[in-house]
Amino acid sequence: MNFKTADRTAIWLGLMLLASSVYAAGPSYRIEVDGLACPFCAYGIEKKLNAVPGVERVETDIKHGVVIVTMDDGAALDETAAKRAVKEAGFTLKGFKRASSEQ
Amino acid sequence: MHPRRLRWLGLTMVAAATTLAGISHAASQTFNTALPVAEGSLVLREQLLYLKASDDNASDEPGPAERNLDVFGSFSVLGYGVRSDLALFGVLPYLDKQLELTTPGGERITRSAHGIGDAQVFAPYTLLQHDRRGSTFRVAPFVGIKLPTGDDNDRDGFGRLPQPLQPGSGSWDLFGGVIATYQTLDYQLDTQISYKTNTEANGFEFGDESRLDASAWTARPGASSAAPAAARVNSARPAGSRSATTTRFTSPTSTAIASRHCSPMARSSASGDKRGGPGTRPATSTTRPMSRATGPATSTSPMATATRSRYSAPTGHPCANGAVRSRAAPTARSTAGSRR
Repeated sequence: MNFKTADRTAIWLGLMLLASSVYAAGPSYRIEVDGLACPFCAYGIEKKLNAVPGVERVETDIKHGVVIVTMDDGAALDETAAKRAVKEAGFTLKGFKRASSEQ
Repeated sequence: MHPRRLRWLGLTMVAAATTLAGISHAASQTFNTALPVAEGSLVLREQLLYLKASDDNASDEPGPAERNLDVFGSFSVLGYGVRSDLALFGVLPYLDKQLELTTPGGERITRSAHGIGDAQVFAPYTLLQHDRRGSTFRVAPFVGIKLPTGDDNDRDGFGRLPQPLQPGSGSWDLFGGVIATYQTLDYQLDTQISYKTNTEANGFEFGDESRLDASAWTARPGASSAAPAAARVNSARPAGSRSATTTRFTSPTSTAIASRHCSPMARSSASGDKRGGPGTRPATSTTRPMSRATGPATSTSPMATATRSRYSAPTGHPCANGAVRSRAAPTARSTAGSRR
């Protein structure tokens, strides 16, 4: 196996692993947060939500005050846990709903 | 340096600058904001200071000593979120002070001191919090104490340095106040009223201080990261002297105005006045207008000092959490993975 082939193989393996992790993602939740007006505030919320067991990814849309939480495959996010995380970050949870089922 | 290393260094610097641009944020620079520190989280802020004061008497003409005071300083601020509505802040300054003056014999001399200044610890508590989509209004009273961590007995070839030139005051001083902050996606307003009681140390007592600070910050539309706020006006009316006003610009992209009034209650005992050798005589001084300065994050208040023998660091409350808050365009999306 020459060097280029090894490189190509490694890249494909990486992509496959990445793809498998995407397919393994669990349900997503849409959390509306009041008081969120700067990225540092978002950082605090993300840090708190990421500490919740089962959370795979957190994305924040500051402009609309929306946080999308994607869970691990088979995990679910409890509204109480989400509310606690937002409160510990210093903000107010306005809305909570499941955005999608498992991908 | 090898060109390849140079290129890597350049790339690293660009990456670092990009990262810093993401986490740096404009905010009130000499006092607090009422914005929260997430529970269990730490925030760190570094603030730089340059102060220049001159004049020697109450008239417009310079006094015979023609004293010029220059102060360079950096203030490290560490905040910890005890709860979402209660934070604990510590401030540790490093000061480099230099005083030029003319002795009664007509000789022009320079006296200087540098080192760790007096640390401060204080705790703001969010008493009122009104959150809406994309905005928040908060009111947070705070109390704190200034600790005598700075050297207050520095000497040079002329003897003991005058008290205002010492890095520390040697006293334990309590302070408290209230901060109000209104923040939206496009701008932020901060205001603070505070009072500090200064106690006696080394036979010298600085006057109590009352302060009123305010700042406004606006986001530049479309900017991914806005520069810190810009203009500040300080005023001080020391006992028996004219008032001094200083205006300073740090960035053309936004505007901040802060005003401070130092109460004319400074007291100095005779022993405190006589111990320092040249330059010790308590005098009223007024700040000169500062030259235009550019660049973010360097700035702070040019500190209108000037009460009788009074030097009051502008870092009374330099703890804007904002130092580590990042302000991107309102449309910015931030993503964080759970397995960082």
